[in-house]
Amino acid sequence: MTDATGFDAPIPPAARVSLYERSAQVKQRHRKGAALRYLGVAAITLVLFFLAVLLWSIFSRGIPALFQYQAEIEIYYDPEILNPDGGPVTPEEIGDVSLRSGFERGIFLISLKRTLDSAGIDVAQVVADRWIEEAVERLSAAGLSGGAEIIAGAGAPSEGARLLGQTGNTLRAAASALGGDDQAGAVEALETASTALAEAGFAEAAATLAEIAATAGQGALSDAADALTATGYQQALFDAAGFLRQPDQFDDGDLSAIIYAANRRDVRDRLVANPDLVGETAQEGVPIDISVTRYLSGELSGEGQANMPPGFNEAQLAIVDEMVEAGIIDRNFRWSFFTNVYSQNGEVAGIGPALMGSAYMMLVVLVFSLIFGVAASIYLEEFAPKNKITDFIEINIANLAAVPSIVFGILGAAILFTLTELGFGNSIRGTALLGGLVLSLMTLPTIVIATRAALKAVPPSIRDAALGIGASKVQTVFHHVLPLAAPGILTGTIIGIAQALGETAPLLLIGLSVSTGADILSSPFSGGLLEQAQSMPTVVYLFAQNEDAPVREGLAQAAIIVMLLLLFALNFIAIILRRRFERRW
Amino acid sequence: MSALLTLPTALLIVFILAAVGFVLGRKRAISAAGGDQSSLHSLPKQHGWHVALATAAPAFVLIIFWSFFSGLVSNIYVEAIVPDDQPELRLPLDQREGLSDREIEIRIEGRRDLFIANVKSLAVAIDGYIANGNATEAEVGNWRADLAPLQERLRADGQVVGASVTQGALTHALSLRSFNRGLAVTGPALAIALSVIGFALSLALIKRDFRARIAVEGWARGFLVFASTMAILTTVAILYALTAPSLTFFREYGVFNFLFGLEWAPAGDVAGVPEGHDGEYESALGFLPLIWGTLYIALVALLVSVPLGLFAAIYLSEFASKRVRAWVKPALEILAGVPTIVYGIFALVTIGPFLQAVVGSTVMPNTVSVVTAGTVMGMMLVPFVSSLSDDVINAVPQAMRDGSLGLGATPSETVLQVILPAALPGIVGAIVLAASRAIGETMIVVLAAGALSNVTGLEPNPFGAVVTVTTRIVAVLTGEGSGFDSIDVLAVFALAFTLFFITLGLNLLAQRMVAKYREQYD
Repeated sequence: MTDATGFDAPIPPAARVSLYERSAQVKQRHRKGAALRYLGVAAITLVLFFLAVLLWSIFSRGIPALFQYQAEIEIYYDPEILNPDGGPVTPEEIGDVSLRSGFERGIFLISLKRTLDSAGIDVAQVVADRWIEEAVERLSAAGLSGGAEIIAGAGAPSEGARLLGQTGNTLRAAASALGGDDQAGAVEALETASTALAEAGFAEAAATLAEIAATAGQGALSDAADALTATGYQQALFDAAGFLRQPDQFDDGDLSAIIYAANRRDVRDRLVANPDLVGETAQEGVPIDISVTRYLSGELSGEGQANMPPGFNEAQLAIVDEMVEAGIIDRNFRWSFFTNVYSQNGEVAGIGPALMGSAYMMLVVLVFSLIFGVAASIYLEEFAPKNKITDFIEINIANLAAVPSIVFGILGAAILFTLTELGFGNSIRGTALLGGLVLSLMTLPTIVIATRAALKAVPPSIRDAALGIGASKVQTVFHHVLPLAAPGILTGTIIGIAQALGETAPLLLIGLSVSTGADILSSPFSGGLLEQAQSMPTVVYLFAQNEDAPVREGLAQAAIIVMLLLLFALNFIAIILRRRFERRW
Repeated sequence: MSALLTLPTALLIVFILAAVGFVLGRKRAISAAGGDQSSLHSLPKQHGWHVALATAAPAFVLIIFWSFFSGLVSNIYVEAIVPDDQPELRLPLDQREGLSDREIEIRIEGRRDLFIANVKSLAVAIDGYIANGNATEAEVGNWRADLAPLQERLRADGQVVGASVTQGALTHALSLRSFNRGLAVTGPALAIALSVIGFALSLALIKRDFRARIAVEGWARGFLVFASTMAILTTVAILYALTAPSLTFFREYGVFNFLFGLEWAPAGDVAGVPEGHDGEYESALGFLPLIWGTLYIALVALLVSVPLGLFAAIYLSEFASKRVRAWVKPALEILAGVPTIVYGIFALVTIGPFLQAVVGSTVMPNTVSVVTAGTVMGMMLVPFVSSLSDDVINAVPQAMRDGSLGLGATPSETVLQVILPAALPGIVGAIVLAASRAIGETMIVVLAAGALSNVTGLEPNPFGAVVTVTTRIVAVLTGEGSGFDSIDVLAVFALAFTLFFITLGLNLLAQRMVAKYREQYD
């Protein structure tokens, strides 16, 4: 108090403010702090937005790919193709018929034509109409109206093409005459062209040309040349003539390109097995070419070169439109995707062997890592003395959990190389057994960590009680602790398996990506584990490497959807198990 | 006889014997008790288990070992019986001309391998021939190779026969067959003998005070110990698989050339060691461009994931309401559960074209690039960073929070000035772990970083394609890899070796940081 005597000056009265009211400084501090909150919200929003885009990108492409357009075709087993020499057809003769010329371009093509006929679709007419429409559009875009009547008046489209071509030629002659310095000749050429246009029926264009001829007559040759080019008549006439020539070039190949005669081999095999079918007809669903599928699903509009399915033209799409209208083409869920084998061709590719291979690998992982993982955890948690060796094991497990998965693949590859060097051959390469073992080693740490957590959660009182009434240590663990920890162990195992299901890199290195010809596997008890296998993630990788955009983008995403659903199901089971059986002590 | 006694049948017999042993052991224990079961040291079923285990376990182990090692032994046998002066191995004089001694040696070695492969396939072909019922064992013993039809007969039966069947090959094939037959019979016979011995001994042991329970528990403990060494075995196997080829590679190519080489251009030879005219390797196998690409992508990934993950973690653990937390956390976990190949394809078909459209194709000639792969990988790592940081932040004692708030700090000041500094070692540990993940990540970079097989120098453009360590490993080892004999394949093992130690170092560092931090607050 004495110190304060020097400060007699009156103490300024403290501002009387409520404790509940924040001062300006405090307010500012809180405002500054709010930035941290906003940043957090922004980060979470961004990540969730990314997740939404990811899922949208998968489902928007994958769901359409799970549907397939099929043409319902009356397949007629034409004896003339199967046996051109006449007489009865033997299975051997059928077996010798070429798949391409005999079936794809033979039976399938003829049947397609018959089907179109009976549906009342006149292919030649549709093609011609479509091209005439194109030509008229092209002409009217250049200001040459009345094209439809002119082409109709010329008779066949090829006649129309000749007429338009000739008219175009007179225009070209006029243009080249304008390029020279013979004024009279140029005027004459322009008048000829004008007459030709008028004769053809393009009255407005004829008038325009006459005006240009007048300009040329006044000596402004270059102005006339520019005016002529600006009309664009010449190019339009030639283009239209080109379109009109197309109907004659439309051949059977263009027609059969629409369908994908994938099951021709099956059909031939069926005929070999049952030659009585020759001369009969049967209803078959034939897949539509996968590029056309993109048109049908609306992904490609079919207008202009950029939006045209590669390798197709407007006339083919017109036929496709007619087929859709006549109900020949319909859209079905693609069940065959789940049973077919992998193929380069998107129309028939499937994930059958991949689903089985993944299932087998999960089986191996389940057996192997459940037995070894649980045993190792029990030892470490319940029996192991605290010493250097157990410490070393624990460090090992912790590190294995963080080793990049590709290193396990390298281990698998090295094992394969070593086995080959020892003379075992390459028979285990790319099998579900090897894949499963490599994945098991990878999942082992996950399962050990989960199992140990589950064992730790069992209260010591249970152990004490069991030991107290005379159970041995082993009996305590196996009769009391393990059953109580089982739900937790199972949950951890399922999560480990789900992780293994999506793992790709190690499987690529042990040869699963080259098993493109893998067939449906036999049962695990009759050697299915030792057959060339595929797995879901590696088949996704194969699809992603395909040349065809629809396969690369569509089917890959469809396979991803299947894989994600499996993962979701596994995790769902794990959550249910946890909810249902978890005990709180 | 030999056809009957195979390993599967032996296995079946052993298991039947074990089942019988269980029943017999139980009965015998009950009768040994003489009506008073409480006089037994162990329960009757424990006696039964003991007999069953003693019968089955050693035989089972033997069968597993036999099925693996008999093939090995048979291979060693062929190598041993083919003498160095085998006529088929001699190199004709006209082929020796102009070759150095070493080259002649390599060719003879090649002929030897071919000859041995022929012998083996011939033995298999003869087995198949007999199995199809075309000849008896006795007839085969008298075969002569100079009968040209022999080869044709085998082929006609659908057997695969090597280029030419010579007398030497036939002789060796026949002796290999008899050796294999011996092996095939000995294994199962040994297994059955072992199980019968175990059966008899363990049955004889059953007495009133035989400690069957202790013995059975001994077996069980033994298995538990074995299972827990699996982790060590895996580590050892990985180390061995990586080290041996890598050391060969370092010796052949030079550690310095590898670590500081600025060019990666494998010559593409799969078999043999490709050497140029001057005796140097045609393949340029420099590590720098690859690690550059890897670290570049990892850097982009960390730049994306660390701020996002950290802000998300801070918000969720300090500010978010319970309900928000309950919804957002699982949503973030979904990102962690999506397989990496899905991210790779997403980067390839969605992010890559999007980025290209934004920055233009002059800056970004391809849709694959450092940023394409890095962004997506960063997003993948967000839940990883955020859940690890979340744990670390939650582990900061509540008292520190309360103290800070009690002194009048705002919640944000508490987070920034008290909690974050306290949690810093743990957070840095989480970031290091994320970096280790980013470096070892494979599928995203394989699909979205670029697939160049040759690369020179370091690509500075973040929108340019790069090559990473993991991409090269996948590119070389996918497909029909042949073996350790190509320098390009060896180089890939050296890559994996380096990758393994980089990630191992980062993991140990991270674990140490987190552990230190835990010690402080526990």
